[in-house]
Amino acid sequence: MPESKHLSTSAAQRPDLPVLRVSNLEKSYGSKASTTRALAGVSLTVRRGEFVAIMGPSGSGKSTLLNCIATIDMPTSGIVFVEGQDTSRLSQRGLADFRREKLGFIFQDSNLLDTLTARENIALPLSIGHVPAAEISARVEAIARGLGVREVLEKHPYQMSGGQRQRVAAARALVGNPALVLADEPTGALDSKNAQVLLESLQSLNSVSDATVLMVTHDEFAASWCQRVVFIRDGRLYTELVRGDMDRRQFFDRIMEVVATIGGGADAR
Amino acid sequence: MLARIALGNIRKSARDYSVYFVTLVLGVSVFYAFNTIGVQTQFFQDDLRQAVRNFSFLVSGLTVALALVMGFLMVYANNFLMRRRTKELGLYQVLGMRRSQVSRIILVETLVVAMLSLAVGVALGLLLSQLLLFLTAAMFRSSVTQFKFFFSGEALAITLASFVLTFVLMALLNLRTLRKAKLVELMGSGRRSEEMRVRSLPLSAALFALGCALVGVAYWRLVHQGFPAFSANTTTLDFSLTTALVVIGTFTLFYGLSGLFVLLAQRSGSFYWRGLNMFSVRQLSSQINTNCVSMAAVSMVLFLAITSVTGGMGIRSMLNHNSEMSTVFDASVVGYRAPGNRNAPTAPLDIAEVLRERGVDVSEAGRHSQLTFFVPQNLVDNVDDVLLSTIASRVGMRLPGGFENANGNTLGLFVMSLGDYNNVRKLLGMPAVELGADEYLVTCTMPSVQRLYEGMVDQGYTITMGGRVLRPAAKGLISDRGAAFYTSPLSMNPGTLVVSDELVSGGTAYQSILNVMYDKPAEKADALMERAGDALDEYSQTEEGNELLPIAMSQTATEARAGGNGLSGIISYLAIYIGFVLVVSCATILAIQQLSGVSDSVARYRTLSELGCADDALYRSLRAQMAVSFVMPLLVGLAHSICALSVIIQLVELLGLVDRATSWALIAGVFLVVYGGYLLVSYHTACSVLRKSLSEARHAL
Repeated sequence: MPESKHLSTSAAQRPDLPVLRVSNLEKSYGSKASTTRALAGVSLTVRRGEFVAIMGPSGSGKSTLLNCIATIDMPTSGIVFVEGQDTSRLSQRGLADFRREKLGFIFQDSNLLDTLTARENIALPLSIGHVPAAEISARVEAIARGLGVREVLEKHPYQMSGGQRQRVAAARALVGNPALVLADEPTGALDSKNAQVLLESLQSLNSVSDATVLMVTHDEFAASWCQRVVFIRDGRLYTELVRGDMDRRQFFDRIMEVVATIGGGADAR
Repeated sequence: MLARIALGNIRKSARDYSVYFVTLVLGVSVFYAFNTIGVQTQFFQDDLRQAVRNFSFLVSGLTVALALVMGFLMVYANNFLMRRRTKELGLYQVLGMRRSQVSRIILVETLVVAMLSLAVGVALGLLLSQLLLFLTAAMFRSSVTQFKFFFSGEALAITLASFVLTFVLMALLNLRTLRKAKLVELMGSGRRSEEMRVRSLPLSAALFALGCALVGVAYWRLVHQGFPAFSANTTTLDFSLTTALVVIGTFTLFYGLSGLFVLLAQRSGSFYWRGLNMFSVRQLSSQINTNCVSMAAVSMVLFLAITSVTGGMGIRSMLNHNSEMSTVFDASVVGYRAPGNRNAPTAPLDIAEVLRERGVDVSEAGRHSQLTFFVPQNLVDNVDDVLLSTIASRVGMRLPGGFENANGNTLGLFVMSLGDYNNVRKLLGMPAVELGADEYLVTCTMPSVQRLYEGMVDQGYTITMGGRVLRPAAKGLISDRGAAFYTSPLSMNPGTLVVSDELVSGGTAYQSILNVMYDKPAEKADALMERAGDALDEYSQTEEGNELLPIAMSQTATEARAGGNGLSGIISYLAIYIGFVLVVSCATILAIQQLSGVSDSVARYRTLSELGCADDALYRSLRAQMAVSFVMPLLVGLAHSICALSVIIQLVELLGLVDRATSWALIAGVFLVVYGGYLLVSYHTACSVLRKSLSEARHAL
């Protein structure tokens, strides 16, 4: 299928192109009689190498936004461009290739396959993409070193701690060098220490290998590791914070201020 | 209210219930159809009906066995259903429902489904039994003269009784599960089953090797020792040990199989890391891991099924082949002499004369002649010369299986006079044979030992009788109809020496046979022979008769043919039926396992899809997993059967098995259609489960 080829060449040729451009995205659920608008026109751009958090109260539409970007869900209107590719124009097969080559996923509950070892879990996106066995091994080792999970490579998920599981999941998301890593509450199931380890690793991978990360979270602490935080409320952009020269502590305080004003505090835990 | 919840539940978990429903319907219909055999025989002739009635103890024994198998299947399907719903049952209790109320919900649910499946099952069974009638007719070599739709109240009653019994057992088991289960376990059961224990791979591989070794030893023992009743080298204890070895070996083999799979795949390097191979192998391994006990059991049952069907069909084809050779004469009367002292000479008794004295003139039925078998003990100078084992070792052949305890090996080959033999040939309208004074002939109708006698003739095997050294005549072995000696459903001539008349004088008679060829209409002659049989019975009750002819049997060709057809029919009916039921049960168990395996792992497939795996790759992986899960137990079962059959075939061949190839091809065909059909159906069901959950994941997020 020429589609996937086209994707990778276009990215290589135009490094300045934003990794993600979301234009006026809308999503409605339900029948004609009672419609819920989860997204009411969201536009957003993420540049290469950015580490961005999306925050918002429950029901604000942040997960819907992430799912639409992830091509797991289809928007009612609006367009998602990933490296210039309009995702709505991909066929079923093209979508699978697209997800594998362009996107990496980290879920709240790690979603590792319990029948496979950590090594096999990390290798999965590569072997699905028919990368040669020798190259798989080298890349798995490298990414595992980067995330500090080399010593658990031969273990099964149930033999690892929650933090290790989540870092293995991060390794699986990053091993294919995706254009965009999508993380849905990656620290949601972790204690604060493990959450910090994961975020540190993500941050260092982001700065070292220029990985672009888009993270949905409602944890102000997690968000404070990012360079930019986008707030969503009632399916619309509410405001945006850029870290700039602030240190993490100061940025955290700013985030807290916005969270206090955005309301819907029911989400704070 | 409770009933409403129950009905709602059935609708909600229709997919889970469908497996249960199908199993129940299948069980009921097959069970009903089988039990209609009593009614089915009313469509056939009288003598067949009698033959079937003679075997009714077999049929009723099998009914019980069948009820057990079907009961087990239902309980298995029920357990599968219960396991999937423990969480929901826990939830009811968390919400404050009393345990008795939850029990009632379950009872109502299962009762409704059971009633429904009973009704559908009986309806289906009614149709099935109509079809079965024609199959039965074919197997009994009969035809359905006047077909009309039939119904068997007796079969229905047996089916109902077994069903109710199974249902009560099932309900009790369910209630016990519910009562014993702790709430925290009920709620957490979904989570717990996902945590699987992984055995060390080298240990698994070692266990697999151990299992193979145990099975290998069992094979070796069986091939060398044979079955206890037919072989001198073995005892029942030996055979039990062999059986234990093969059972333990099979279980160990499956226990280690899961690890071996992974180990082998990992060794192959690039194969393992390509596409979904790694996932498929691990998935398969985890499935074998959780199901190793039932997979081993399935392979043992398949082994039983294959062996019983093939063995049964072998015996059937032997019987059919034999029925020609065993009904050469229109009627035979066989009388045995008292065992007594085998070395003391006893003159043969003239049976026709005895009958005439008792008022039955056999010549009114037709032409007749009598022949007598003598034991070799006081005729052959060295009795060892005519023992089968001696002959076998001297002509450099192996004694065919099953002959260790035969008369030909314990007493030696029987001897008859040339005069008697030529009388038989005359009766059959065959030319008389000539025999030199120092020559002998061998007659035999059993294919499996004929090679031995051919060897005797070819190598000029000598036997010394009365000081004279006898050599085989030029036409030394006779194995056509001229070698048949009496009419009876199973009569065979395992090998008899024919020598000149003077050599048998002073011999001890073992058996005298009066053969009759009718020249009157068969019905009249049959009636006369029946009277002859009664007269001989009376005679053997008298003091003289008890001394000279303690055991006498009379049989007409008409009776022998009907008996043979009845026997062969009942054997094939039972063999095919047992095989069919066992295969269906195995396939059902595997299908249930596969379906529950797939619905347990839909989350994994979903993750793969999110990681960018194309759908058709997922279905390919699923297909490979299911194919291996179905084929593995079949392979093991087949290997066991081939080993067992290689021994059984020796035994059956000894009775004269011929057209093996055709009946085997037919059976293999039916078998593959049933088994493969199950594989296909469960694959398609699994695919639809997967498709549904993938599309749910895509749209409902």
